[in-house]
Amino acid sequence: MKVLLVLVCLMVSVTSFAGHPNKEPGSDNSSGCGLGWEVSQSKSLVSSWVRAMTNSTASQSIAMTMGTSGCDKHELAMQNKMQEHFANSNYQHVLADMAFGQGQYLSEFSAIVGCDESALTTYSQKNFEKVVATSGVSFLRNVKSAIANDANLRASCTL
Amino acid sequence: MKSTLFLCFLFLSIQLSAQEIQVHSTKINEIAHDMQWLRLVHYKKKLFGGYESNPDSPTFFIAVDGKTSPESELMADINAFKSEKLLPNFKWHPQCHFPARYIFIKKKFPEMSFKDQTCEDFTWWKNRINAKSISVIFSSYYPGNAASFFGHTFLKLNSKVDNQDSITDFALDFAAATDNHNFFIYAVKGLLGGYPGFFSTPTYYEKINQYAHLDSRDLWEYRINLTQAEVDWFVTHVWELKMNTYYDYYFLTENCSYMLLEALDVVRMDQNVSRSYYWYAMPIDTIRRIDQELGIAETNYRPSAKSKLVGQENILNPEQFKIYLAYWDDKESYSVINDREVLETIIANYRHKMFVEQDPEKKEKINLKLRVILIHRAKLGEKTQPRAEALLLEQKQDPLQSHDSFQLTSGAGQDSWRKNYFLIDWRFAIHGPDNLSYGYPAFSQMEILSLQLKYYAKSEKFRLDSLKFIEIMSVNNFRFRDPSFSWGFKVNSYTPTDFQVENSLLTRAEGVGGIAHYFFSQRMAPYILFHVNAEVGSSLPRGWRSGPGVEVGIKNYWSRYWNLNLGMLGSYDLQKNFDEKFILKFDASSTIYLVRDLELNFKYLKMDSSIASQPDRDSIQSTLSYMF
Repeated sequence: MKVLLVLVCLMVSVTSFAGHPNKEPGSDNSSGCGLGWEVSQSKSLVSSWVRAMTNSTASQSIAMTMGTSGCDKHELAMQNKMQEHFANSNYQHVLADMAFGQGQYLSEFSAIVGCDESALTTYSQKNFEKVVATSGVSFLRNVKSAIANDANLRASCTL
Repeated sequence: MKSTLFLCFLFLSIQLSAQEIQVHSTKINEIAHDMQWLRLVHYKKKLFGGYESNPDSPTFFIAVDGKTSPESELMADINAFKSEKLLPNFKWHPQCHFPARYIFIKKKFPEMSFKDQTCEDFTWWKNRINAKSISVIFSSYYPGNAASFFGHTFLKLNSKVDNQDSITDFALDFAAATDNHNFFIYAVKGLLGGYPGFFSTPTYYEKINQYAHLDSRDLWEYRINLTQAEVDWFVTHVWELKMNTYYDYYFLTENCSYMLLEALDVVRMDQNVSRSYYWYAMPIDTIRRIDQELGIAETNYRPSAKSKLVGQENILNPEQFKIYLAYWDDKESYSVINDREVLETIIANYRHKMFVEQDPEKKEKINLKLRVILIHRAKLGEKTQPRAEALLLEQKQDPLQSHDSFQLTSGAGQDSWRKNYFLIDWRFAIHGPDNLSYGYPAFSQMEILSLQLKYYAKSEKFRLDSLKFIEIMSVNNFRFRDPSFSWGFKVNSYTPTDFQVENSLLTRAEGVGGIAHYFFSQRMAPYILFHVNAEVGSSLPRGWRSGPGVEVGIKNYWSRYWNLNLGMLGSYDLQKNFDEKFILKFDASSTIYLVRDLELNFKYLKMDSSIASQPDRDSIQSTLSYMF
């Protein structure tokens, strides 16, 4: 009986640890699967957010709002991360919509950066050369500086 | 070693506590066989009695024999949920690893006082997903990659209350973590379950980029008819699958589509979404199953970048088209074009080109070019007119409305050489040369395994007419702006219709390549195809023969209810010891839609003999096909 028990335990331990060393359940190794999972882990979210902050100068306005409650920080960090993720994945589609004066990507981007859709649409078609970019990072930077510098646009954006 | 001891300890403690709650054993036994429990832990009845759960990670089970024993698992879960202790190898309290099981057990054992744990990560994740409804997404057929030829499915967890479509929603995807790009290793390993499959939740816009932009595949979004309570319950269970387990991924059975069905099984107990999928799950069929069992409330079509380009080109009038042709490729300046529609077509072309371009340098070049044109388009101002979109919506062909995959055919015909016959034909999947192509790629075929028998009245004999292993034919629209070639291959054993070897069985492998062009918005496609084939069979003088061939023809698909294919094939035999080196075949085939999944087909075949002593041969045939 004892022997049997030891055997069963051995078998279980082998199957537990053999197999897929790089693929623990729960880890998301497939490309781009991060947003849904990372944002659910407050610790890793905050640390990666801090890392992003120290490396970039683009998110000054976010840094200034630090110091609110932990929960708010969390929400803002997520918001910031979402903006970057969305811009990196979709800036080409948003730009096309801006030139065309309408589209789903532009409409969802407006919501993500906290702007009134029609205000951002009108502004970006008229001032297309100010926002056009060939990377997601520079596109987001252009849009944010446009929001900061254009009084009309600033008034219709909440960020 | 430490972990082994831990596990032994765990095992022992479970044994002990099992004795503790021995009084409940009849109840445990009853609840362990409750449908809901069996589905939550994904138990399936084994062929010779007993149960086995599909997930392959030991962390999906708390009991050591949890994979095969619903009772042990239930008992172990109850104890783990009651205990304050963390289990080895678990990140959170067991309640937080298995929140759906916990809800189930709490409901079934109200007499036990469980202490709810706070599951911060799970609650965070669930609120983040914020699912209000669920859609199943069909990423349509993609002839460019053999692994994706039959389509792909994943789920979209819609977060908007009014079912408004949002690209920032999360998707639920089950995919294999593959490592090998060698096709054969990939295929063999995939068929044998050599890759681990995982559930993941990327954003929907990442999936759009992957399928609709990079792969040029249209996406179909079918919103499933579920209540909010059912949606919540499903998402809670998804956490258990995503966080605790992997599956051995089998391309045919435990594939992306099947796993979604099995996950959906937890939603309604009076429905069984994954039933009878023991040996294959074709993606489109699994959506039909969801429609039957749970219901599809709404369909949304999201054309690929390539489809958008085609739609855009089709709305241009001849004059606009002329300008487009002059400017579609690599011009320095676009400022003379003041027509927004022409400009938008040029943009659609560049966008499609950029998405499919693999070389980063070339991609960047196109991106810069696109920047110039977009600046000019923005200068012209005004909203774009959604004419191309409207046209695409009008011409869309819902894959859910296409014919089913299995097919039984019976019919009768007459040969000029063997006289009257009856035939019966069975096909495994999915879309054959004679089928009406509504919902499938235009003029294309993808057939796996079909068997055709003929019974000749005069000789009173059955003949194996054809055993087809695979036939793939992708007839693409060739244009100089977008040179897509047509190609295909076929492997089968068959009774030849040509002279000299007619009474034997030959096994044949054939490859074809050529060009076709679509006219009248995909209603007509003339084509020219070059054939190469090799055949083996004992009746052939040297045991084999081989030779090239040329086929010209025209495919017509003027309405959803009718098609007509005409083809002429001249083939040459390289073998020297045949009298007949050149064979000319003409065939005509027309299919008529009767009702859904019932088609009537007529065929005519004529073979010209190059031998003076042999008369020409012809045959006519009429068949009825039922798809299910």
